[in-house]
Amino acid sequence: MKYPLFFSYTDLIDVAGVRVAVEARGRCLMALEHGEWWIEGVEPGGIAASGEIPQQAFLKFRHTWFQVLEDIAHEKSSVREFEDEVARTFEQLNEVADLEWKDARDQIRQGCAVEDPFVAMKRVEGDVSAFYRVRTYPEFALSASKMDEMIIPATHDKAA
Amino acid sequence: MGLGFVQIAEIRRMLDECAPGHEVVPKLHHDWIKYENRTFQTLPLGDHASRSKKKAGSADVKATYVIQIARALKLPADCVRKHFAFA
Repeated sequence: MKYPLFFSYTDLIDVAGVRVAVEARGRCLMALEHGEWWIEGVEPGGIAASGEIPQQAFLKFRHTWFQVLEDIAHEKSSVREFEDEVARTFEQLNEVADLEWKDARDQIRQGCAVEDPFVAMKRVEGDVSAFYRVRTYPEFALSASKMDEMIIPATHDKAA
Repeated sequence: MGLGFVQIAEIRRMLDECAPGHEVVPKLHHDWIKYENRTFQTLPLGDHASRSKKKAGSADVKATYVIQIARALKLPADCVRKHFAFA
C-alpha cells in the first residue's frame, strides 16, 4: 500500500548573511519498496529519501528537505534569489506520484485500513493546499511558533 | 534490504541515453539532475565513497534512486529498463 501524506516543516536558513524562515506545507507519497520505506515528494516533486522503518524515513525525508534548502542557500547572493529558487523547487509537481497519491487518498477515504505508525497520525478532512513562505527571521519570530508534522487524510471524507 | 546499490556512473550512462540534454549540477549536499523543465534534487553524492571514487563516478547509491529519478523526471520506462532491469 502507498500512503498519501501531507508534511509541514519550518526551517531557519542563513541566506547571504540574512536569517530567513522557510515554512513549507507539501505532499509526499510513502511506500514499502523491496524492504525499505521510501518517501518521494509529490509537491515539491524532486526529492526522495528512505529508511529501514517508517520513522527513520520520516526523519531522513525531513532532513533531506533541509539539505535541499541549504543547497539553494549556499549559492544565492540574495534572499530574493533564494526565494525564487525555493518557488521553482516547491512548485514542481511529480506527476507520476501525484496520480498515485490521489488514488491512495481515495482508498483511505473509502475506509481502506492503515497500519502502524500511520494509524496514529493526525487526520485531516478535505485537501490541504501546498504552500510555502519565506520570511526574514525577525518577522517570523514575532509570529506564533510552528511545529513540524505529518498528516494523513481522514477516512469517510466525502470531499472531492 | 532494498534493491542493493548501483554506481553513479551507471546512472550517468542511463541519463545520457534516456534524458538527452540533461544536466547534472553539483550542490553542497546532493547532485541535482535537470531535464527539460524538471529537476531531481536529491541524488546522493555517494557518502561513503572516497573523493577519487566520487570523481570517477564509481561511488555507490541505493538502486531505488534510479526509480525515483525516472518518476520525478518522467523518463521513458523502456529506456530506463534497458540499463536497469529492476526499474
